[in-house]
Amino acid sequence: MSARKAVGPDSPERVRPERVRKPLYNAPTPASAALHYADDPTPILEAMYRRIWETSMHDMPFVNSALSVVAIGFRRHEGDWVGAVITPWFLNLFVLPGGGTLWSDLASGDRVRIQFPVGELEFIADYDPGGDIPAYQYCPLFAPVSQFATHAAALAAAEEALKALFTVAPEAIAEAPAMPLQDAAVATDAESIPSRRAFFRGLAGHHS
Amino acid sequence: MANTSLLSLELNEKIAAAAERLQMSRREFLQFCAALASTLGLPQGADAAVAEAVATKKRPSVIWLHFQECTGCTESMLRAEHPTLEKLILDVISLDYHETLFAAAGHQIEAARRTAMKENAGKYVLVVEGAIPTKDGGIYCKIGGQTAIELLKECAKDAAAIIAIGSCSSWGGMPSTDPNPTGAVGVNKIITDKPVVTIPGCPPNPYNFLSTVVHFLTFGALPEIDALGRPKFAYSRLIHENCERRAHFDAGRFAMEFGDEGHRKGYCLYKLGCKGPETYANCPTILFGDAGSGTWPVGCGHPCIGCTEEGVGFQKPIHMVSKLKNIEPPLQYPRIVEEKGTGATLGAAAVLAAVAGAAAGGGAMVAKNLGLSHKAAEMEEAKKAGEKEQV
Repeated sequence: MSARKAVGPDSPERVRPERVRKPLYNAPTPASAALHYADDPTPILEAMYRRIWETSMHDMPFVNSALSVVAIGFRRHEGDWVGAVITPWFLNLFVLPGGGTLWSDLASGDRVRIQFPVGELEFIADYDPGGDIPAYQYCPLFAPVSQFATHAAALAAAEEALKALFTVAPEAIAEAPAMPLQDAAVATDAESIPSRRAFFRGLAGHHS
Repeated sequence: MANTSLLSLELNEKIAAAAERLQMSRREFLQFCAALASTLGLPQGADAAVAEAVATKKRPSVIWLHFQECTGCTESMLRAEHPTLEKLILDVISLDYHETLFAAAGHQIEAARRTAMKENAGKYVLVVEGAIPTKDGGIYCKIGGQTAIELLKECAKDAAAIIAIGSCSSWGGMPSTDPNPTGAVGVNKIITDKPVVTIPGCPPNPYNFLSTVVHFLTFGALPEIDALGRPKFAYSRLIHENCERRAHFDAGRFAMEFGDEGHRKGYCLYKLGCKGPETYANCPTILFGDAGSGTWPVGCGHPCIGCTEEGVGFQKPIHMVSKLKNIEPPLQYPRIVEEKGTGATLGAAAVLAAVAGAAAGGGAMVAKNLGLSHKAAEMEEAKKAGEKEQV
């Protein structure tokens, strides 16, 4: 079974959601499958984002100069590369192709849901044939990163995110939302709140 | 119990009758209802309830008022490219008063409005298009001798629900632009004793209006709204969060001026003043209006001007770089277009909560930092409730 589910328009693997309107333009899908990284992609990721920082992001009003570019905790998961990247403008989780089952070739801007032990996460795909890393997928965690006073704080958050990513989520929270009954939409919404609270309570217990 | 199988409805006579009335095939009608259900973020099975309601429920009487505006909201709905959309809107509501569309005029139409209000007292839906001038006793907009304030109060009194359509009636919109010579305000500044659902946009997407009405028809209640009265199914995520050009932003690929290489390549429009990072709307998902061939401002190379957002649209110059108000990941609540049956990604909630704890040594502070988004605000609430119970 595949661990991914693409949700953007028009690629072979896509589960297409019902939409009232279909976009006229879709970014081009990759002509060929992405090259797999045999080795840890940390150095090329860091080089790429250092270049982006120096060329197009350093003068942006929302950047946090206390942070520097660093890739953290890259490891193989289901055969693909998974880790986190910190830059002065974001803290994101990343998936890079390693020949595994998490990866799928998608157009720039496509969204894809990827299954991790903690549950499903939505990733944004990028595809830039001329780029240092032509194809990668990322899950935005913090953007902008203004709440980090120090680089160390951002590092701690990234490590915590990776730890959570590979921790199996309690089963009880994975229920599908109930269908609202006729004339009872409000009641149904109210009922769903306690379980969410219970979920966050459980979570606080795990991580604080 | 509502029907939960869309397929089982295909042979239903009432569905067939509704489809015929709308000049659609039965399949098209059911597909359309499914699309509306997913626009509303409803789970699997709700599409059948929506189809049944549209086909069988008594249509609510609608009183539609026009104040300070350009009638663009009505225009965008009725001149929809989908020939079925305006039919559907006019089919799910019983439009009993609408100044632009009515053949009658003068005292005749005012009498029709009063009759409809009397007959449907407590049951009709009031839709307001346009801002309400408040300066100098509200004299800058008068209809049939009544000021907009008087007319609005009179019509709101016995309404079952009030919908403000467009940015003008939602928060003042264009007419309230500095120096706001007529003291234009939105409906919820005049009607304070009833909830007002606002559907801002200039014009707002007709599907957001239709979905709101269909929700009312299907479940007997208006959809869940945020603090500004906006239905959460349509306005709970920033343009930036769902933008098809988002990857260009994070990778630092920007259009620097109109017509340059980056602009031609479809790069991010942030540096051209795109207000996507501070504007809540579902344009990237359901596109803009229902005219043209499936596009929206950013999709065709123009920065978002923030037309839905008070303090942004018509206020900030189009070229002015936007503020990055943002939280990520926004994923713990159902997405606007949900894969059926998948539900919210709770994994994301878990990761965010874990990170929030690590980021500031206390969840509450980070939640406050993140509180700019509806989702984060709700999360903060949930955490607070959890903390209280644990103490």
